[in-house]
Amino acid sequence: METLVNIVKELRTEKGISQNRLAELVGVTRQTIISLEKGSYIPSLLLAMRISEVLNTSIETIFTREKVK
Amino acid sequence: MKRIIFQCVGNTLLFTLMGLAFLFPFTDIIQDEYGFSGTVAIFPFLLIAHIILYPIVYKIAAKKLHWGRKANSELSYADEREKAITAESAKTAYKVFVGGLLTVVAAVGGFRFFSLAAGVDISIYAVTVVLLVLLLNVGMVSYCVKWCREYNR
Repeated sequence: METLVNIVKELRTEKGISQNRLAELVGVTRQTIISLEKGSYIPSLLLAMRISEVLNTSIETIFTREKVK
Repeated sequence: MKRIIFQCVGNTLLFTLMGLAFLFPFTDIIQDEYGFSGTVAIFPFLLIAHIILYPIVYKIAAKKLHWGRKANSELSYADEREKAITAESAKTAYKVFVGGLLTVVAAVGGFRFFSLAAGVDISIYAVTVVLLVLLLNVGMVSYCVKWCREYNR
């Protein structure tokens, strides 16, 4: 089985953006950002594109597929 | 999450008051050839008070806790994740309601049969109201529990 891992937390802290601010910028709640960073929520393509725009990084760099046993 | 818990508590209270108001609408009922007379019990008044006050309290809470306009009604959501959670929770509640309704129908039939077979006078109306109110409350609580569990994942 495959899952999606992301480096949103790393990129966000690198750019000095708070979870609240990122949530505001991409139009979701802070809890969604928390879940996304924990890896327990897989975002829609639209949200992924918005995050990619805000963090100024390509989707492929932020989100990568990973095999889970 | 606070919004969902608030709605769940409000709805549970509404269902319970509704059940009580339908079960005990009057006290001191006197029946005669012209119909009946009696005093209206406290429960219908409590039900009306809840129906009037709940939306006001909800609006105040929504303003204070910044719930926003987008997610202000039943089964509403603030973003795509909440939408998925709401759908999952509604599915759980649906299963509870459908399974529960079948059980209620069977139970009402069972009570009726027992009433006839044992010669015991059982109010089918009261049994039905109690079972339906229980089902509504269980369905509402299961929706709320599922929502909160999914939200905190």
